[in-house]
Amino acid sequence: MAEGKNPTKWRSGWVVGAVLVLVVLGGVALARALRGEPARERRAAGFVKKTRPHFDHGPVIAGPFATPQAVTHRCLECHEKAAEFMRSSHYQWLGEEVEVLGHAGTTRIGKKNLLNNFCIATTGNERSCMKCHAGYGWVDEKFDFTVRDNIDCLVCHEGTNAYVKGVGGLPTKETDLVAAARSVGTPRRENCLGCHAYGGGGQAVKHGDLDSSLAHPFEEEDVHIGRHQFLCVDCHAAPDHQIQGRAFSVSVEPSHGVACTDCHVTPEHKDERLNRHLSALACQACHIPSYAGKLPTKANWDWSKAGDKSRPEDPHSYLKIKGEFSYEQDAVPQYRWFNGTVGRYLLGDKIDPKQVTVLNPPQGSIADKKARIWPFKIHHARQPYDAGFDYLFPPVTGGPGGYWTSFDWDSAFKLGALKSNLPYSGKFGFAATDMYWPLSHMVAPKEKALACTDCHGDRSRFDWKALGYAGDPITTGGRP
Amino acid sequence: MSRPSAALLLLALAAAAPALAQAQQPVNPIHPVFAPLDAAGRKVRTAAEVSPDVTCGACHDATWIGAHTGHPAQKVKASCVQCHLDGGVLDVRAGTLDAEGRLTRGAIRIGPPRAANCAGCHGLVSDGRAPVVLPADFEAPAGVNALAFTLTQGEGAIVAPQRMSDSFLNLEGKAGLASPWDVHAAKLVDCVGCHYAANDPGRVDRRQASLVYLAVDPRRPSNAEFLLRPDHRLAEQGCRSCHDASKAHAFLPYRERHMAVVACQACHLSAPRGPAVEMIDATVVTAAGTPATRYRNVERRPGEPLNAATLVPFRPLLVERLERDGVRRLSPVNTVSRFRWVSGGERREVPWPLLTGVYFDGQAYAPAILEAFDADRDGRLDERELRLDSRAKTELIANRLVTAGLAQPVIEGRLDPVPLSHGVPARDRALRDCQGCHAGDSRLSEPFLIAGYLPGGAPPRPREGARVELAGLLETDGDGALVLRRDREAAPGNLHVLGHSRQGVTNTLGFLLFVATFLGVASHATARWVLRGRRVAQPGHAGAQRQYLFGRYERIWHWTMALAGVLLIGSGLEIHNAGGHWLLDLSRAVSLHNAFAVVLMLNAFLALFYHLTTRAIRNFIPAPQGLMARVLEHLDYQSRGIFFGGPHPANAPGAKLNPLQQLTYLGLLNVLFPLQIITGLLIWAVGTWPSVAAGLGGLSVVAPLHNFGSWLFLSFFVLHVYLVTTGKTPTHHLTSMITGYGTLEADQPEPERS
Repeated sequence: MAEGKNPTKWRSGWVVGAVLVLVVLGGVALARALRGEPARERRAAGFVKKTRPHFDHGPVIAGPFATPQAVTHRCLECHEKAAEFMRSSHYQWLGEEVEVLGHAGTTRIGKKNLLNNFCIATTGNERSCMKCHAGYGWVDEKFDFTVRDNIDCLVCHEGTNAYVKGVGGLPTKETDLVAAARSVGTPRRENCLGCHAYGGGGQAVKHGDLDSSLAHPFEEEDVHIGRHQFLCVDCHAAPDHQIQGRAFSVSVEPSHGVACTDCHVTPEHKDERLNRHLSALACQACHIPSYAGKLPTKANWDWSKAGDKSRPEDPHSYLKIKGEFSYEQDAVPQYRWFNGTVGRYLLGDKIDPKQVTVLNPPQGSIADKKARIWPFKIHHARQPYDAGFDYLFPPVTGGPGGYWTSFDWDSAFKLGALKSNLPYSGKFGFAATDMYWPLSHMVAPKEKALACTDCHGDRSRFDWKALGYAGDPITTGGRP
Repeated sequence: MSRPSAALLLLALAAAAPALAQAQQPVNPIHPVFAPLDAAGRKVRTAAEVSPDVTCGACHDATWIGAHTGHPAQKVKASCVQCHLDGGVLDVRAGTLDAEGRLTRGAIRIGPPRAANCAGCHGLVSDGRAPVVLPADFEAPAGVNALAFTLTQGEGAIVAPQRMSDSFLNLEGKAGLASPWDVHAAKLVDCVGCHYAANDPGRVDRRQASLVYLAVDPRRPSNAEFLLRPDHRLAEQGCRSCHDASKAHAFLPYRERHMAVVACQACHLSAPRGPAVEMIDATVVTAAGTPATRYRNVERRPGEPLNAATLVPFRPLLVERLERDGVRRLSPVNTVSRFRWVSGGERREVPWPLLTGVYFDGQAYAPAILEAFDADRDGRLDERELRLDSRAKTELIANRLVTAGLAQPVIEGRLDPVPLSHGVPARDRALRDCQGCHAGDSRLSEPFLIAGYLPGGAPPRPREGARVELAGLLETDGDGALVLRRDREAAPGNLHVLGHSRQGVTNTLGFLLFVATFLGVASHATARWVLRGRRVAQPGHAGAQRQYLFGRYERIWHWTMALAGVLLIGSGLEIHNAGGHWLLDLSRAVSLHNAFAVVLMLNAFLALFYHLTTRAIRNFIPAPQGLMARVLEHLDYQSRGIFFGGPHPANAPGAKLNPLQQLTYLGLLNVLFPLQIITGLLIWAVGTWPSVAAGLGGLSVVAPLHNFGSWLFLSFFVLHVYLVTTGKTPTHHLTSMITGYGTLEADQPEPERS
């Protein structure tokens, strides 16, 4: 018995074992092959970024700080490279050199030198507009953009929710700078929303797809944040402090933008019929079925009615300083072709006051292969213009002599001419303008996305003829 | 908000819904302008005077259409305008008529019937955006008004493009119900998409479109002929007219087989959510003036409006149904029992208002009725009280009917099986759980409630001419409910459903054989253990020499066979019991079983080749000379010697196997192996070549044989494993099959080396 361990025996044992292992593996492989294709797994949740706890700055910030600039100085002592933020449009309020449709050469445009049809222009109104400038002390044209300590690190990075900016972007007196500085971390949704949800002078006024509810939305309101706990910066990454993303109210082309397809590389529709829509529709068209679902957004603003002290005031319909306006809620978007570029009205461009001037007309048509049908919020306004020279005009509203104190358009125009170096003819009027706001936020969960009958059939929300189709493409066919 | 005001609100919404929802029928640009006429052929100036038959009949052959319609006039008065115009009326008024009394172009909004037209009679059909609600007259008795919500009450179907989660109904798990009520409606397939005029030249039936080289089939009517005489016996296109099921369902094992015996609806309408009626008891009148209606899937408190009740999905009854393509398939149905009073020799239905008069004295129940029905004396008749469940109550009503002037009033019950085919939800709501059918207690044979009680004790008579048969036993259970009970042995249509069907006698016999083997082995082992002290010497091959018994290939062959056998038995048992574990669900078990059947067959083939070519096969062939004596000798040893230490008898000269082994393997290899392989292949072939297996009697013959063979295998396996332990030491034989070295009797000549 003891001589059982002879080498031949054990060698053959290995062979037997190996063959058995092969048989098992082969059988299992065969079983898998016979079973057919496995179910596809859900991928969406895989895109959620894992946030790691930020370094606690409490112990390294001593304070006290006499000025907010001192905080920035302290930040830059360690984060020297962060001064690169000074190049960004969040600081410059100007983009890079671009060609603007219908204008020769290239130019730098941004909130600093453009008009919109809400509060019109920042020029001359810096004291209040710069509440949302990520810098300190921009109250007039003399602001020095080259001083590093003028950067406002805290507005994006602080975490107390008690950091309030006032005149010229300087924190209010009550703000606890030490607490704010000690709380810094990855920008939270509240940091971004503090400005971006309040553009145009109030909650949800401008965008239609951004309001403060995005800090903690239900998943029906925003699937990325509500269901998957995204931060804004998960999509709007900021390599070298140059924050990605494009708002077509101030940008004219899509470089450095954020797109659905950055993450959703292959469309997840199981239905081939849906995937065929991708050659004509932006993701947003179906996945943002309505806007301003939670809080109403401004739809109309008529400046010409301002200054009537006899009318009762209501922040949602009439204010003496701003005029008459209307809001819309849970509204169906307007659908237009859009290829990612817009035209832009620049200061001094002539207008035809009898026509509606579109400040940022989206480009693209059914013939443009790059264009897709996008959902838009369109903001209509009647805003002041120079009736002698026929161009839109940036009057000064805030501050002494501004319209909000004098209620005298003529003096507001004169002040504006001084600030913007745009000649004023002495005659003014009000012209109709439109602004297009493509919708990309507040993406609904897929269960709420548009379905066939929303666009096809009797109850279409699309005006197919206006989009350039012969009729409903379900019967007349899609674009060639 | 109090309940009545909530009901009022819902009512108002229900009334407002069509107005909100309806987009107008578009102006028909090619329909000629025409003058609306009255019955006498005179031009009319108001809508009320219009005679559709005369007006439309001026051009279309109204008489012929009336004779060729699926909406027969005596039962349903469906006129041209009712189906082809919005709201079922021609817009005839001063503003829409020209000087010659003809309708202007803008008023000619005539077209193919739209969802709203069909909804006028067939139930909850909508193409609107307004949230789906149940209309206030949903439970009103048929015949009192024209509406009969047959689609919804009969099938539990709601045909609307709306997402279930967006509707007003209280649905169980509503938040997660993102599927539309009807996926076809949601994808713009309207009613006429499947139910079109049968001779419409624009709609070519796939079955008739085989002549692909014909651009126009001259045998079909021309457009002009069609417009003159459109055949209104509407097509009833089934799923397969448009869908090719073989192009989907990649996950499904035995795909062709499933498609051949299971209707699409069986999985895709496995849990309807609309309120489906179980019974309509029109022998009584509720306080609301309606018949007492019981639903399959509505959970409501007494007196609660239907819109406020909770709707849960229900499991339809699966029966065999002759489908339009002539094939019998398992299809889901709902059964609706209707009970009513009839009178006279020709058994005419008692008019509803008359019956209402029998129950009511003005606005309240008659005192005599309350006296007889109100068991708890609370002055109200609840659902349990308002039933003709006793002779006294039935006779009371009958007498009152006689008093009202009716002769021989009796209760008549009718049982309608309603096949489900509308309101198909999105595919992710389809039944994808193998257990749903294959488990022993699955929906294939579970008892199905026909009627919660029997008014007047009359069992409902199944409607004649239905295309489904309710196979099973109608039984009244303890609390008076009528239940359809079905046998697990025979799934509907004598289908053999793997895992669900039990194989009857063969299964019992096989199981008994297995139990007997197991008990025999167990008692044998117990005896050996008990008597171990009384053994004289070591049992087995005393003084035998160690030698190389099993060659390398023999061991590979043996263990491969062992592995495949164990896995086949394991997965086979799993299939037998329809699986149900995450590790080995039915679909996994089937593929594992198939895979290792291939392994086993290859292995058997190679082993046969080896044994034939090396002549090792001789080990398995019993030598005829003295076989009987040796068999007796071995039996004697196994029954006596092994316990008391008798000598192990010798094998036949030159044989590695003893005569009992030889006989066993003779049977195993020549009978059981071929049986299992052939029946197994046939079962597999059912999925791919149904005709081959059908030729041999189909699954219901082949499967029991395979099952019996499996029990034999299992018995062999138990015996085999046990006998391995009867060597010199319990692990002796096992070791020799691993290492190849073991002992035979010393006095035997060395067996032939392989």
